[in-house]
Amino acid sequence: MSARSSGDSLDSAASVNGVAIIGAGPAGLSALHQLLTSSQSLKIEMIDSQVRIGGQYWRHQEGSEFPAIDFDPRKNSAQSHEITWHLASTVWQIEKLEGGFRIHLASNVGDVTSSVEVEKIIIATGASERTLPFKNWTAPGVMSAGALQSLAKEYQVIPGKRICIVGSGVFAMPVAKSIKETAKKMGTEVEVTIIEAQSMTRWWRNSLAFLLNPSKIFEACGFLIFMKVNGVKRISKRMVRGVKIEAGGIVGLNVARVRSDLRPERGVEFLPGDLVATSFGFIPDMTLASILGLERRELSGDVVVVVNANQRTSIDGIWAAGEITGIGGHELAITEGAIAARDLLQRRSPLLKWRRVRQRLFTRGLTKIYPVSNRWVESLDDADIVCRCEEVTAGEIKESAHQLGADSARTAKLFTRAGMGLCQGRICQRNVKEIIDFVRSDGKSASDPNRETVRPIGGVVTLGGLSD
Amino acid sequence: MAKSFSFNGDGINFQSGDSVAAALIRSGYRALRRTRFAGQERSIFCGIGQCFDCLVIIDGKANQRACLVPAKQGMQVEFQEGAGKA
Repeated sequence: MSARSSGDSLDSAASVNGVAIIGAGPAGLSALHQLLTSSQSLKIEMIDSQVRIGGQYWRHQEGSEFPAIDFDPRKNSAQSHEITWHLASTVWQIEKLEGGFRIHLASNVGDVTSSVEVEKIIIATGASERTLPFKNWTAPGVMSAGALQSLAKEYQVIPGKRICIVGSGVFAMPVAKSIKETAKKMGTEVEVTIIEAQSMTRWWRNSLAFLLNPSKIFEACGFLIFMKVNGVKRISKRMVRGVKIEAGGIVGLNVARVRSDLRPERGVEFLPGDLVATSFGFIPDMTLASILGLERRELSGDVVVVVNANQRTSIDGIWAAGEITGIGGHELAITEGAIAARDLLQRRSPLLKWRRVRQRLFTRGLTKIYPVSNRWVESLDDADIVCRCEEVTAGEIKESAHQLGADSARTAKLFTRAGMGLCQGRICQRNVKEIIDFVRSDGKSASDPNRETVRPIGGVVTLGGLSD
Repeated sequence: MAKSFSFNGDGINFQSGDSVAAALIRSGYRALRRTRFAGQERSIFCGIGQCFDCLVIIDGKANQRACLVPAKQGMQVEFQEGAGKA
């Protein structure tokens, strides 16, 4: 059992010799915000792989006001604390020391390495987008919805004239909004169509979660009104089968009607477009959690970190918050980050914990509205590429299950190289797993949440960088 | 004076804060490299440095993620063929 003070704010964390927060998104910044309220002077290492803080959710233009919680940590770094910002830095390894950890950092290019030693870690590495493969999804002009949003919001770039956002989940709405807003600012015209696999009426299934989170009702209505006013088209119960390319580039996409389990019905419809963005939810970034050997479990198809009520992980001195403990969006991440940091400072958070209950109910509800069952595999042709890095097709992966006995993404990787490339399976591993699960006629798969996501090195490091 | 870098010899203007990929796409470029096996054209995909699809050669160095590297005045960016080595 953990040591716990009985007082509200004893700050007996006096002996804390350094805290690292890995991930400067909503969860990490919220944790930082709490740590800054400590009366003890803390040495804090803030680490993020991006050039700017804010994570994926608060991507912003350089130099613009930081649209974060209710503080801007760049302006608010209290004098008594020593914050070191390690931006554009990838953690590629973490060593356990006596009473602490050594965190190895590399520049994004991988050739400059350094390390920091800390006593405690709050890990908040967030999530990346889930994409599903389809015909020609590797072509230039097909990108994740997150990439499209970042182009629009962070760089004021509108990369097409007729943009189609295909997939499932609520994320398409803020992306469509960002595009329309940026286009308006730039005085350009852009057509945006959202192609959603699920039916709108499924929202009724989440009514309890909405009632507990009334602000979400307003948020949803806000998006719907925005889309109506700005002419964002919505097509439901359709899923992309492939992108059509002619000499000049992308001319549109074929979509098929799908049932709620994503099983396609016969026949396709053509929709014109010159840029396709795709998004099927999010996948927790478990790279560092697995390197650390934190206990993991499966939660609605995702592998997530096991945490207790105070966001503590299975390893003493390490807390986890945000998407890696279960996909839940930025508000839940803020709550969890705050709880983690307060626990580190030996403070209690009863109100935050109630908020967490409400927010978790809401996001669990969302996963029920937008399930991604592995029947999507039926939409795939054998020639379609699944592993983008190693250019491995769906047919090769299916064959590894049928002919060679592959029973998990890991074994399929050994046979086909799917997931062995530069991205280390970040894009395809989940899809490979679902293809294997789908085609194994015995229905058995050997997937193990504590093995599947292990990558021995957390980022790109050059041998030259190591030898320096 | 607009700031610029070169892409295969073409001048590409960029704004402060731009990544290499953002500046290229704003200028109407899409394909950034060709794959090792099938020779397929690729561009930015995930936009956050995870997928390694937007690899380009920057100042002679292959396999740089165009979505992560900030654009700098005078940078020489090249389309990457395969693994980026002759």
